[in-house]
Amino acid sequence: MEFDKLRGDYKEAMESIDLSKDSRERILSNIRLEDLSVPAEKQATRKRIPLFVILPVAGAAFAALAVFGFMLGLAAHSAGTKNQAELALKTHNQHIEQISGDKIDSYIENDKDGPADETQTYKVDQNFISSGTKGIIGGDKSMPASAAGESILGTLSFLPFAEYTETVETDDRYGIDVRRYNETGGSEDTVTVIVSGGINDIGGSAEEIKVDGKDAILYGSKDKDEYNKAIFITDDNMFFVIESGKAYGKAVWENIVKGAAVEAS
Amino acid sequence: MNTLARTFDLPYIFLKMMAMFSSVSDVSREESSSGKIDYSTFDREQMNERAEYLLNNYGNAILRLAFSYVHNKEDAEEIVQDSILQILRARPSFENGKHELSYLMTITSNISKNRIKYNTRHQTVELNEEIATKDTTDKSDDHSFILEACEKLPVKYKEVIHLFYCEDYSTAEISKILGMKETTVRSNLSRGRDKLKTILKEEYGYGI
Repeated sequence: MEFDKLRGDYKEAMESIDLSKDSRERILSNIRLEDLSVPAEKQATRKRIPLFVILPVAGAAFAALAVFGFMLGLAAHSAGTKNQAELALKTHNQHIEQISGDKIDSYIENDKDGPADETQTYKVDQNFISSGTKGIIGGDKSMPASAAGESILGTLSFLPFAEYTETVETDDRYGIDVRRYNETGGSEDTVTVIVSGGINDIGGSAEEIKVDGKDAILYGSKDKDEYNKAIFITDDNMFFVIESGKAYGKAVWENIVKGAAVEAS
Repeated sequence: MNTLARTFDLPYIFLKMMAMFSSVSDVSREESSSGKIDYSTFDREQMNERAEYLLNNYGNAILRLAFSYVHNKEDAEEIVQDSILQILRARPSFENGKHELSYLMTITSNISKNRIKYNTRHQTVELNEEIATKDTTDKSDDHSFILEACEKLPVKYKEVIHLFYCEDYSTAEISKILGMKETTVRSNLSRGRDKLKTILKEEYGYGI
């Protein structure tokens, strides 16, 4: 009620604002001069798409694009991994072909870039260990190292594996590649050989030597150039592992291998 | 007897019926002319006629609405012209004249707000025009200070005050014209009124 006065006064004030005759005619003449036709294409495009429609659609499209890109990346990565695996398998198979003769040294030399966590089973007859040979499958013969031709404190263990699996894997503890031989004939013995050098769980690196024309690999030591294990292959393709409680240098191991070879033959 | 004869006089009945149909037809034509308005059917001549009609019937209303925003008569007249041009170009159709006026008010409101933005960006022009307006304002009007007081209100308050007090629209109608909720219109009206009351009282000694 109190604003009725204001309403009246406001209206009265506004009444002073009106269109004069001149203004009216000027506006009308301006309107008559204007082109009021609406082009057809303008009529067609006049309807604008509101932002609340554009934004969610654009957002969804962007998200879909991002997901598509991610999936594409994933697929590419997967394909790359698959290719790598195939290549590694191929390389590995080539290595297998190479060692199918009797060259154990080619294991180490060629398998530096071998595939990780890949297992291959070898059969006695198909590989380099002849069946029926002394010390085969489960045969475990121990003797003092001195008996092998060198005066050492330790035990020589002859672990001829007739049937075993070879696994090339990465030792996560030290970040090195190792080749692991698991005896599958029942004794559950395992021999680990470094294939890419570096430090294994004992320390040191592997070294290939020739003893009386036979291939041998020295490995497993705490100090540089010292080893406490050796693998050697006899003339009749017997595969032996010698373990020592103490680490020795290359010269000592040559004598041990010689002695072991005599003992094993 | 004469009446009875007339009752069965077929030519008489026919003429009566024709007269009845004729009157119905006239009424429907009249409803049509005062009812639906479709700009899309207008040719150029009809457009000019409609512009004249709008200017004569609603010209002052839209001029005052525009003035309530811009407080400058020259700007307000330009807004009137632009509003009429816009409705002619849009070629809308309306159920009745009231709907047409509401539409025109909405257009005027939007154009006026755009003009305020433009004037804000072009401060120099606005100042000159403001000076010119103040010079041309009818000082003889005793209540012109109310318009000056309204000028000091924010746009959201003065638009609802003008439509409510000057054009006598209901809050529901204002909400449709300005495209806002009715509750917002009411609250803006209430706050604007209080603010105007304070300005009028403190600066002009006007008591409500």
